[in-house]
Amino acid sequence: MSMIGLMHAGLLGLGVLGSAVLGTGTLAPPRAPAAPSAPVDDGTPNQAFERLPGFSAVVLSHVTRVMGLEVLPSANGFPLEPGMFVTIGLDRIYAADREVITLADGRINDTVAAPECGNLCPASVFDAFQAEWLALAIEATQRATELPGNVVIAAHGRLPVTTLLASVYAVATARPLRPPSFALVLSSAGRGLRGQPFHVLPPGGLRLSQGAAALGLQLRFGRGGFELTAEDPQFNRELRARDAAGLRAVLREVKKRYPGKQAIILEPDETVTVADLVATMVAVRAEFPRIVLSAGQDLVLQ
Amino acid sequence: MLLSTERMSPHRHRRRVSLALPLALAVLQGGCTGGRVIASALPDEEPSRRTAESFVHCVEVGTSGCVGAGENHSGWDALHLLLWLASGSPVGILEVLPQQLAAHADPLRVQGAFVGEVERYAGALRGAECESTMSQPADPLIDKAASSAVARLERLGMGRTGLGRVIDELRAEAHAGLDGGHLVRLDCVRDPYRVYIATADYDGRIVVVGMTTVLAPEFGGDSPSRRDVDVRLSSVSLGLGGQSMPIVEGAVNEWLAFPVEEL
Repeated sequence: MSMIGLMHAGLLGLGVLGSAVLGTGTLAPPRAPAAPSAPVDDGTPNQAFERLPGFSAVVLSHVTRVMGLEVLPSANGFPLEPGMFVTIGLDRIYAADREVITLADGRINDTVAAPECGNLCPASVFDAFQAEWLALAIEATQRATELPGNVVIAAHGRLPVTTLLASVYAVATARPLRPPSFALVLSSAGRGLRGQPFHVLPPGGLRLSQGAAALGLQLRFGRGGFELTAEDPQFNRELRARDAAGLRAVLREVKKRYPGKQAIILEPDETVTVADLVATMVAVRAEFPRIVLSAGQDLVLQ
Repeated sequence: MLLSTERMSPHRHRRRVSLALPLALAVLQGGCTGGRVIASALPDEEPSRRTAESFVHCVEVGTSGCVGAGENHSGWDALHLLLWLASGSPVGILEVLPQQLAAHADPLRVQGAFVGEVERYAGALRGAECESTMSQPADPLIDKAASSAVARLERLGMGRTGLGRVIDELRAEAHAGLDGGHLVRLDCVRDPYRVYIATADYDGRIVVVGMTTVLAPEFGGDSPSRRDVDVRLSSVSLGLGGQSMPIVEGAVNEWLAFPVEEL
């Protein structure tokens, strides 16, 4: 046996990391994940995820080096699942540790929209992430691994949420086969990096039939406060709140009327930063843990 | 099919000269050439490029039969691992590095991986119109890949896992198997657009020992154009083209993979 053969035996400790579930693979059908419940600070690590400390450590090293942990939004969250990781500072976007886009104070300079993402992302960002997916697809064939099904995004707290959404839609629409799952990286005091899972509304919006029995709860928010509506005609109200405490109270009342509903669509305006978004996610997730982000697309019940 | 290009030994050179002399005399007897230079039918690239092109032509015709069974491919495999550590995805490295190192220790699996790569692209290479455009010596590339891998893994917080010793071993193995060899780049008109062929020099015999279709820019590759990326992502070679994922029963759609009742 060569020295490499002997050494690999020593590195098999990394095999624990290798058992990570990388989301849905290239060929395996996607599974509907269970609705996440709100994280509880019970001090008990989730054993199923704590088998993967290596991935969190890599993200931690990279984020610390390129922008510092202190700029991440701070909140409790879920263990990070391995996947493609994207870091968005105020001056650069990285795919893993490779710089792919230059930003100007958190904003993307490119004004040419990509039709592939329903004009919700700039062409340069779409191109960069499509090339990244190609590299991952080639790697998957060469290394007998799978195309990552998760994307973990570490974004600067002061980043305009419009830049985050543009990046998310670029990553999602550029991935072959189907969009990935997403999580925002949170800095959690005493618990390292955590994640806040989220979905995104399809670039072309969503049309559902009345028979789908969807409520279609939507929260528009910005500096002016929160405005809660729903597509279901029976809801027939516009609820408002000025702060997070008021929002929680409103959502508790809605939940009493619709206990089976888990999802809420968040539509931030252009004044919102990533830190504001995370604060809103934290406020809504106790009642509605399925968080869906929207860049303003239509949701129609017909 | 010729898969290796032999440098002319002194003995063969003498034999060719002895055959060429009467021919040259016959030409002189027939008349003066007027100083014209008669172009050789052989391409004038260096032997590694000729060998790489011969290999691709062989693949176009016959696929895996072009991989020499007795050749040592571990040098290329070591370099390929170094390039992966220096530019591959961190999540992929974390997930499958132990398995990849185990495979590297098995010459049959190393050769099988090469055959698999050749078979994967055999269909695409037919009609891709590939032509060698440059080659780079393997020795400095090995050192550059190794030092980049060390620096990168250190940056990513993976430097304290004993990987430094692994990289040293891979570097030594790559040098042992590829010293004097080259990495030849072929540009193709169609998918896969770029092919990189590794050659080794075994006592003057140039042989192909590895192949890849991607090389990071810092190692002499280039970033694919938007068109190239589009085509490659839908190519049969990657197994992604024409597939569509089934939507989970009861889910809203592929973007919102949870039960519609929750919305």
